Amino acid sequence: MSTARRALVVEDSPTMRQLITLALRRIPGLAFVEAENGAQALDHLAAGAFDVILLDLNMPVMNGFAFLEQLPSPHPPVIVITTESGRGDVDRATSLGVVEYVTKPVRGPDLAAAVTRVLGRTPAG
Amino acid sequence: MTSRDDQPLSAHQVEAFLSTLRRSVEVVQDLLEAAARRDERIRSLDAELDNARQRIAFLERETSTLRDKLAIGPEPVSMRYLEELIEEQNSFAHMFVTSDRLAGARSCAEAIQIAVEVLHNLVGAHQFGLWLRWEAAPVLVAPPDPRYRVPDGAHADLVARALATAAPARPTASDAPDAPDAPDAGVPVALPLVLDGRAVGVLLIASLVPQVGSELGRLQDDLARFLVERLPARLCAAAAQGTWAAVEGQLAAATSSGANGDRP
Repeated sequence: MSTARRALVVEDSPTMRQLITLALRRIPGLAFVEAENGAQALDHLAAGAFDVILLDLNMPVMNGFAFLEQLPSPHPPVIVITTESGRGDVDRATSLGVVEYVTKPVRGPDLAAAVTRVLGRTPAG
Repeated sequence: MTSRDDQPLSAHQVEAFLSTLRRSVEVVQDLLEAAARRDERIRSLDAELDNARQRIAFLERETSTLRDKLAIGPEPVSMRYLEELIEEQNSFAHMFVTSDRLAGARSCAEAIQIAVEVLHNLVGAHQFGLWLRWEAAPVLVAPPDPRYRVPDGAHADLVARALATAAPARPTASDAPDAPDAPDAGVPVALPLVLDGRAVGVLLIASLVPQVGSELGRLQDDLARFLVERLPARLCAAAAQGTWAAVEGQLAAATSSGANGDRP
């Protein structure tokens, strides 16, 4: 992964954003941009390209499902980070383009592994 | 007629003879000292040689061991050891984030909000309650979302016991005679917030998210204890620091009273 990659972290909790970005620092060459909700994330996507999106489902202003529904196609692969691990949520998110699930409480190595897996499946943008 | 040898020596001759004899003694002494120095040098070189031989022998043994290891290949690293390292690193990351976020809290409300985020997202608490107490009865201050807040009166005995003893409280056999003893890491658990040796609040974790299970893992337990240890002092600091204007006011007061030295 020598080419610089960009991740968009969409999470309303500053504590979780800090933990997620701490985990992402383990991945060489990965830069990240943070958004507090889906609406901010859509603005970031309109302004620049990303290689992966890490998304919380339960957020104010625009939650994860609303964001996924408004996500223009084609879009970067989406990894969901959530406590919502019910089968219905998984199926709904998968149908909206989610490729991986990481459940809270998040373990940094698990998250870094999921991002590395997803980036390994897609060419650098 | 007397021989020349029988003639007594003159004082000059005696002096010359003694002088020659002294020089000879000095030469012999010099030779003996030089020989002693050489012997010492030889002993020192022998010792160095011996050390060098021992060092060579040690290096040869090390080389041989390393050759053997190379021939066998790298020692397999225990997966359990690796898992422990990863878990440790993960635990430190969670504690760092918790500590860093709390350190940045500029109000009591912000500090409590951070505690809620940590409990919900990092500890994996599903239903919980944070009580703080002053002179009167303890007040439930968090979480604000009723979906995650313990119902009124739930586990009141645990909360009261943790406040009274300033020690963690879990259900005992007498609380539920038919239930098996609660495990050390099980929930519900009431963790006291202790300041100056007195319980000033309690964190009650009533249930955990399904991913964590029915017991706090080591990471979650460590983090919950870390949080309750730091929160009271952070609340005091947040209450004291207030705004930047307050900082300026306090510094100005300290400077004018001479407590803080000269302004730069």
